[in-house]
Amino acid sequence: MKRRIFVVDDNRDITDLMKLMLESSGYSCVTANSGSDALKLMRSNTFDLVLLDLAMPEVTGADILDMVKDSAADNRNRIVLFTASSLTESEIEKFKKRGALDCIRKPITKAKLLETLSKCLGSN
Amino acid sequence: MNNKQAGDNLIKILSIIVIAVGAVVTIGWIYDIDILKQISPGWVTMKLSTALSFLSSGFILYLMNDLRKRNSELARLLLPSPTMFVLFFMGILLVSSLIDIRTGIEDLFIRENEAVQSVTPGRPSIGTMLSFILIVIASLASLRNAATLNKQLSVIGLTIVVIGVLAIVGYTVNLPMLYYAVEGWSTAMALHTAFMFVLLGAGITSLARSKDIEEIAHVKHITIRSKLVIIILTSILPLAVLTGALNYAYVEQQITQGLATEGAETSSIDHIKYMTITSIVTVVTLTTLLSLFFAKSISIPILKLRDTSNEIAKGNLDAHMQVATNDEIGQLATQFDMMRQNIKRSNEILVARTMALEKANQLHSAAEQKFRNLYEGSADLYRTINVDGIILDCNTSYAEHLGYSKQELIGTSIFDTTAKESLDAMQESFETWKRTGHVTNREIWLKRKDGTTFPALISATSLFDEHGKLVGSNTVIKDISEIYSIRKELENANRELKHNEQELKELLRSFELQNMSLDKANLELKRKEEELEKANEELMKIDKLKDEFTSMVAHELKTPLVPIRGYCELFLDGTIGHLSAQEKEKIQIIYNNALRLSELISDFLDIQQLELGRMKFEKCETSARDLIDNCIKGFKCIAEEKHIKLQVVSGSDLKLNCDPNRLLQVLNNLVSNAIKFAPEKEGKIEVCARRQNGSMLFSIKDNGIGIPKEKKQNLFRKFYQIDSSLSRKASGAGLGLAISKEIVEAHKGKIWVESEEGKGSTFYFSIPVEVRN
Repeated sequence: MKRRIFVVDDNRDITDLMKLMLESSGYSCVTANSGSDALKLMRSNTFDLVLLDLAMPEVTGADILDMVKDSAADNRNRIVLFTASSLTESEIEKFKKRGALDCIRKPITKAKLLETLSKCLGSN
Repeated sequence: MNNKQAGDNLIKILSIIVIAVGAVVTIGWIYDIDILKQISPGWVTMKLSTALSFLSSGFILYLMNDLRKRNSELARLLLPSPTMFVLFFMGILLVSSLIDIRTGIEDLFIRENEAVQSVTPGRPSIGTMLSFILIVIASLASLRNAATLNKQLSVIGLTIVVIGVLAIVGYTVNLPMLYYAVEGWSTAMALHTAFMFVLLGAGITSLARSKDIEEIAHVKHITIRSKLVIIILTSILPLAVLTGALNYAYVEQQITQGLATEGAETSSIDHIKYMTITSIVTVVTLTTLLSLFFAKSISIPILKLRDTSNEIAKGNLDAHMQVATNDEIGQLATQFDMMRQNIKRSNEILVARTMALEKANQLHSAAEQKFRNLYEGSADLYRTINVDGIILDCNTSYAEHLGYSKQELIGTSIFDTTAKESLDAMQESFETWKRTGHVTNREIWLKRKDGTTFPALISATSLFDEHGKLVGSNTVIKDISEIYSIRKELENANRELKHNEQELKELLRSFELQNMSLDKANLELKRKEEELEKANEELMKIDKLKDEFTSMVAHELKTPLVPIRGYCELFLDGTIGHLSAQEKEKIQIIYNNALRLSELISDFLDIQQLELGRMKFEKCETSARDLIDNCIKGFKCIAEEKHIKLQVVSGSDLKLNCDPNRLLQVLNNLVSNAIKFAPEKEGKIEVCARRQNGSMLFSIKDNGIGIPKEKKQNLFRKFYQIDSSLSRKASGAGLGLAISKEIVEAHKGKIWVESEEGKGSTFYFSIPVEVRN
């Protein structure tokens, strides 16, 4: 059974790339290109891991993180943040407290992505 | 006490014996009983005159004793009587025997014993007469109560004893001379007469010897009554004797003329004899009665008066006197007592008044003392003058202040010590005082002895005599030199102040003008300030925009790189499909440039953050070894590719408090630089971390081309490249070292390089090890 990874980013090029990277590496991948779509999907589906972009128009990654965290039903999805901004360690810690499992910086190499995934899933 | 009593009794017995013997012999003579006149028949008889004198002498001794021992007033009154009797009796006999005149007295009692023939019948012996005169002297001396009385009494007493003893001795040794029997001159002294004298003499001597004689100082004179008795006796007694003598002469004449018979002779002699005795007894009795009368009515009241007045004189005003008589003396006594009472009353009033006066005096002297203290002790100057302006008194402060002594000032005029310029003012003030009685706070200049002057305030109050007349003044003078000089200074200061005020006003005017222009300038400034503020706000807005822009740029620049790099990677690892070698090479070039662009963006953002001080360092305990290992791990592949030997020489395990990501960034920069410049295949890089002087010293040594000296200084500047031509070969934006320098310095450390051209370079940076508690 392939692991199901949900990738959220407003940039479609990036979600496509991620989908290619993940599927070529043996994962199944679902993508969303806005925060509201992502929320809808997260409420109706269960994913092994969510890669969530922080900087999105309208509903941001951080908003999603908070909303999901407050709802017990949505809490089943584990989230890894995925951002282009240079977050410091303490900022990452704060997000972790809000429910994020980890944080991946953009641009990302395939190797780094796979390492993070296997770490997060493996710990399950 | 017993001795005294015994002596008293002894003298009393002695005097009684003498009186008794005198009486017995007298009786013998009167009744012609021989045995009573002479001790035994044939012995010398005691003459009648002698017997009578012994009778009196016995009384004298008794009274003298009373007077001496008890100071008896009665004894004093009675004593003159027998004394005068003896004196005149014996006196006349002594005088008549000395000039050999027969007065008749001696012949009065002639009943001579046949056995003893006497040349001068009826006349007592010379010793007897002398003894009686001595007794009289002793009595009178007792009455006078002279200071030398004791001595006199003992001398007289002893003399009488000697006279008596001589006579007794004469009888014993049968020597008539000693008992005064001298042929043709003196009859013999009878033996019992001699004994009587011994007794009397002893009595008088013992009076002298009495130790307890009370000296009565105030009784020095013979009392009034004594004087009266003396006058009466001196007039009556000779009269009586003369009468007897004349009678005797008459009878003798009649016998001679044969007018009288033998018997008649005897009877007439007897008649005269009895008459004389009767007259004498009458006189004595009268005298005694008179004495008693006078004593009761005159002497005693007078003596009482005397004693009372003595008491009063001593101060005892309560000495009450009671005199019962109604005569002048009684009235005198009553008036005297009234006087005493008046004196007593007056005295009481006097005492009360004296006490009041004393109290008033005390109050007065206290007040006087207070005034004196105030006057003398005051720091103010005081002087007292009379209406002529003459100084009568002044206090020490005044005298000292003016430089004179008090004595020099008293008696001088107040104008003498007035300064010349104040003479008129002083005159005016003086006149005012005389007219109104006071002046207050007149400012007068006074002159000291040395001629210097000082200003003073003078206030005068008036002194009046009991009639309300102005007699002088007490003047208070205050030296106001200090106040005066202060006033002067004030005036000067005031003048100066006025002057300054003028200047100040001018200055103020100019200031006002300046102020107006200043206000204008100020307004301008405010406007500019507001503009500046606006500009600042604008700037802040811009700054904020810039920040937002920067992060936006970073995000927006990075985001396109994600698919570029990602697809390149997927092409290169064959995920998308198989590529020819040529295609692969071109994709690799795209990938490398995308990577470089990523780095450039990253470095650019870092340096911007560091320079603005916005870089956030997150420090934690990190060991130097871990840092180095992390670094080496990242470069291992590249170094192997280039055949460069990358090795750790030493790595301390010491922990540093630092931001490990940033320090790793520094290490990475330096190592990547070293790799860039190290010669391929022979390249060698040594990384080292060791402790040195409280710091961790990192060094990265390479054997590259080295850095020319002149370029070292600029090495850590932004966008600096040692050789622009080299930048083609060795890629880099020239930001790495600048970023490294900022990071090290943010950790309070230092970064530098040691290099030799052609041989290689060593980059050092030190991070202080924070001392842990």
